[in-house]
Amino acid sequence: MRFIIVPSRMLLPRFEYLSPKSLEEAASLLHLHKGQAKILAGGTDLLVELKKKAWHPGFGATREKEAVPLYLIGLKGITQLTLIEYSPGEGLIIGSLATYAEVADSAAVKEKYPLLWHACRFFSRPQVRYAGTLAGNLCNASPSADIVPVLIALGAKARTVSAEGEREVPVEEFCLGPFNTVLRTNELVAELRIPEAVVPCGWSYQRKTKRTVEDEALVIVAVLMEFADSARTARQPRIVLGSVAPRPMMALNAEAMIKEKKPDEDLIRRASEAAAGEAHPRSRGDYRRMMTRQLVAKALSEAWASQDP
Amino acid sequence: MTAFAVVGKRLPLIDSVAKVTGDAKFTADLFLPGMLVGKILRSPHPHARIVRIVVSRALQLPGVRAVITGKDTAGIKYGALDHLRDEQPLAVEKVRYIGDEVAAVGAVDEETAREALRLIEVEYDILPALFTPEEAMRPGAPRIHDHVENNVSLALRVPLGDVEAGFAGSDFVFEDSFETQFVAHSPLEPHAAVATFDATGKIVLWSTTQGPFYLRRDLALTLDRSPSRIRVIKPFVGGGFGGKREMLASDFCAALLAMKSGRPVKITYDREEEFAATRRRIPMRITLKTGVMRDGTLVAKHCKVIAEGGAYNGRAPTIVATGASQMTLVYRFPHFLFEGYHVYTNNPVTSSMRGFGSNQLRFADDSQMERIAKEIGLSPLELWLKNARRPGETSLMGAKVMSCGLSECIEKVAERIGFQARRPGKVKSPKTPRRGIGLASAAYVSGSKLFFEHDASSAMIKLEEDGSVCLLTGASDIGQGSNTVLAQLVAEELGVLLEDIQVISADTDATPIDLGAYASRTTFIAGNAVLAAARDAKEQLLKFAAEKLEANSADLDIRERRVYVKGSPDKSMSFKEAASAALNSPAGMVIMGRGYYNPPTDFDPKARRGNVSASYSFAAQAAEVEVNPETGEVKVLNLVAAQDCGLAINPMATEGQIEGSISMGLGQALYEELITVEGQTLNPSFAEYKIGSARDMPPMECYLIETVDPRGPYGAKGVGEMTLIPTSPAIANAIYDAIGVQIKSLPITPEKVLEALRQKGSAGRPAPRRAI
Amino acid sequence: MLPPVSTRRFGGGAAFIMKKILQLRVNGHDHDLLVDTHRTLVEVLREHLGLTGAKQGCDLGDCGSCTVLLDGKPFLSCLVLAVEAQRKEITTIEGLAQNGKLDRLQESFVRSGAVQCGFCIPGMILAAKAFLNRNPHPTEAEVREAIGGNLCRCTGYVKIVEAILEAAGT
Repeated sequence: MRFIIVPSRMLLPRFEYLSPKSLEEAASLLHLHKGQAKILAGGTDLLVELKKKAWHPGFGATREKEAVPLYLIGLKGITQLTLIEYSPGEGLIIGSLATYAEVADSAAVKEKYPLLWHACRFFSRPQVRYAGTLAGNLCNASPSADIVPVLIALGAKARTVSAEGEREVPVEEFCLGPFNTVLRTNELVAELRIPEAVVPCGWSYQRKTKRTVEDEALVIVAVLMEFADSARTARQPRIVLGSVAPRPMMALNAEAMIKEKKPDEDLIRRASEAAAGEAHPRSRGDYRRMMTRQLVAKALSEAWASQDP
Repeated sequence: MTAFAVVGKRLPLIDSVAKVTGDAKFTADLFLPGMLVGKILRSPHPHARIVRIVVSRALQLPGVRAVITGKDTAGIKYGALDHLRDEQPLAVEKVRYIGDEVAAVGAVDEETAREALRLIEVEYDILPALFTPEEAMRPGAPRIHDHVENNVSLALRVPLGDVEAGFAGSDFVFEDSFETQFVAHSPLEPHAAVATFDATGKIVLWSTTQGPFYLRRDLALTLDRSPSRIRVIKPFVGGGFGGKREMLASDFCAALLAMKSGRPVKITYDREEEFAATRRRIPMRITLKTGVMRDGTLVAKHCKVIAEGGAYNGRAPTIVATGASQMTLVYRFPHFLFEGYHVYTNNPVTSSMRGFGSNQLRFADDSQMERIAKEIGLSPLELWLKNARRPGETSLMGAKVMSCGLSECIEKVAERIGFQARRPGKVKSPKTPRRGIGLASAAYVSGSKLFFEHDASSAMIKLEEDGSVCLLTGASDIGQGSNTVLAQLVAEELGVLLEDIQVISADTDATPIDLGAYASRTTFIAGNAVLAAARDAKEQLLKFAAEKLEANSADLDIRERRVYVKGSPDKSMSFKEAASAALNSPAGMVIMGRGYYNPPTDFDPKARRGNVSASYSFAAQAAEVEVNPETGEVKVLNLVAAQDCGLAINPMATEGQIEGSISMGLGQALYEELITVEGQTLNPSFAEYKIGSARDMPPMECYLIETVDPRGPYGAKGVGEMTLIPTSPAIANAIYDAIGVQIKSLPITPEKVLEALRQKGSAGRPAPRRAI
Repeated sequence: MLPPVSTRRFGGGAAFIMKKILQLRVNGHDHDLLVDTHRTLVEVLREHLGLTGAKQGCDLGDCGSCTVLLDGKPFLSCLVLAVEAQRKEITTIEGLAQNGKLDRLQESFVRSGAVQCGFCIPGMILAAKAFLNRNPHPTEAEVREAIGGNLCRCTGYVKIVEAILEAAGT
């Protein structure tokens, strides 16, 4: 008999809570407790995961006890991490504690990065928007993460720090597979860096859920394209898919098809079919691929039609 | 009609202030000094023999105060009816589903309790498990319960008329098969129980129950104790929908752990237990054959139901058994054969849920009605109305219908959805979203004498000297607002204001008996009992006041808190004065009204014929949907409901029942399903089993068709369950209307829509067989 | 290798200081509490402070019944560590009525018949409260979005939405 791990009794396992006051202190605590500590930002993913891992024998001994961290390093005391800062010519910095609600409240984001603003504004449910952070969405590395495709489309990089130093990782390389990232055990994300917004541009964010409106994503499509001219020739188009592969992915073939092209219905159809062909979903495969095709077509039409910011 | 002062008014629930301030205490909100946390160890196997259980390590763990297993119980089985008892609150010899209760611990805190469960060693001898009724019914299949052959715990055949002759005499005969799914009740409040045990041997249990008297009965039975040694109290209950009707292991284990430890014990189920290890709706495979004349007159129906009961009976065999009466109530036809099978499997237990078996059967019946209409070229509206039940009729099963507004309900929803104007749907290009509309109807009992020796309720009313009135009723308010409705009846009858009424309810020691909130019985049956008690109290008060007012008590009445002489309103005294004077008179006259109601039913369980309820309610709903033929997505654009509930005692609360039902019916139609593979529930959380949010709801319209039932309290009938029944078939019919192909299994997912469209594209429909 | 839960719980050694003294400000009152650091806010509100208005409907952040306000914003108290709720103004349903007078939302919920079983209502009202503070004149669609994280199985949300719109005066 095969048993599937299902969520379990909703009590957190015991841990020691550490509250560093600076990024350096956080990095050194993480280094000190390497492998036994987890970074806690908004908690909307991590605390759920820990509750599910807390061993509960309610449904029998065959369910193995899972390793849980001994320490949680809460970042809330490091106030600089709530930063959302836009500098003309340089771009946008989003601190790892910045929540969806805060990003959605930023006038600069709304003006310069409408794709990001839109995705944060309509992310999940209000309670999750107030608590959850964009960096957390990235670090959780769920295949159906809502914001990661947007970050990839925007060309975002994650600046990570550790006791050994810093590095910058392009977001598209950050996730390795479901709930698995390039982050080393002593490393944490300090901020997300998004390059200067491209103007004029077209964008679209499409998301279909599995069943109901407030539900996990079935397919996510984020499209961002810079217009080379008034005929809306797509320079550097980005088509990023979520929830159709082990990690958010760029639809490279589809991107290549529309690069340097003007809007054209037949092209949109072919590109959306190409994107669907690139997707490799694990479950509801045919349906997700069909929906990918639909949403990519819709997103491309919408992006090509969108007004200049 | 008399103008009512309190009845028929849109009044807030009397306990709603307590609920908006957080004052309302639900079972899990109770904290008692020294209280232990109880937790239950469940089976990881769908079917296994328990070889041995060793609890010594768990007992040695500091902080553990009690550990119980099946050996600590009296081993007595309980269940709906005596002959259907098959379940022990803790497994004794065998476990029969993943989640079956094996042991329980009481400890000082949650972590210790959890650790103690881990230290209980259970050795299982794994047995072959059965996961579908077909497997389970196969000759030679392993027995899940030793006393039940072929795992069929109930096989029922109800022939009425001559169904074969009926088919032979029909112009057309249609046959279809339908399937329904496991649905979770999903009240927001999970099950919980708090028990205490004192030195006198008394158990007090607070529980999330829909019927404390039933619970006490099962607790007394399984603990082998006298019922008077057990007091069951229902605090505020956060929704039940049928799922809190039965005793669960939480109740039993809390009580037994309290007895063992001498300490109060609280057990709360988490959401996973709630989804995976409590009751769920019984899925049915329904084969329905219908004979009909060219003009749409129904002649005969043969309905075969194979119902997947899961590991124990729960209330489910009675669900199957009510199928025959539910199938014969809505439409009129002379020949009927019902065959029903309740089959055990090693899946979790199915039992009662809002609508009982009606949801499943009405989905099949009204889906087929829609097909009949389409294929013989009648308007579905015409077909519905031609066969709809009318007042004064007796159904084939023997249901005596006093009041009935079914036709009016159907006409109302058809008019509001634009049925006449819109049909038939025009299919444009294969890619454009297609709209469709669909109808469905329902009928339901107001109480049902299927479960107990009687179907009675009783009430007491005390008058206080400040002119307020205390109502003691056994009825269970689980959020539907029955305390308010009952208080409205009392206020109306006694001529006082709603705010003068205090309700003490659902406490087995403090209130007289009521069987609980099920079968849509509370307004009708408890309402009649309460009304009788109010009349009794009124008579006593008027007799006393008659002396004071020097009048004949028959000439007195009460209105707006004044007792007055009819015809000379200046001769009066206040209600408070009268009550106070009575209580403070030298005779010390205590005014207490007593009321009792047992509906006049004549159901014969052996013949399976007769009248099960004193009154029947009717409903119709219409849905308009838009189907995207490319993605298979269904969007419900509008839902219209009309409900014949007799006289609505509180129209606002009645609408609330309808609106809540629609949200539940929508889920049942389109996305709700407990996915169960090899006995394991794969989606036991609100993240994976979705119930609709505010953004999923379609626009809804509710209409109350008031028929005033001669037997109902002020003409009222039951309302809570029937409102759910037509929603899923109405949506299914609208989808059929939109895409021209019928999907016969719930829920209707986008994949099923696409598959149906694909099949429709590749093959033409077979024409219905001409019988003659 | 991590030690098993049992040793951490029952012989964990002095290196583990699991309890902390917390200062929580709830409904305008300050509380000093000695609390295990892995405790969530909803557990502390209910078990330490007797504020049982916040309900545990799923404890995994899916149902919204445990919604409370932190500095006026709605949070799922089952996904907030009590230790991280320090230095915040915590408002629970018990703190919404002022001087014995119900909040406008509480009144409109009662009047509109928005309350059935009442289990989801404290979280629902608090989510609506935070929303109306930000958006005093919302559309119906905005109201539905604002309570999208609060599940109700009884009402179909019809009268809840009406009540919120009524309280907003739109």
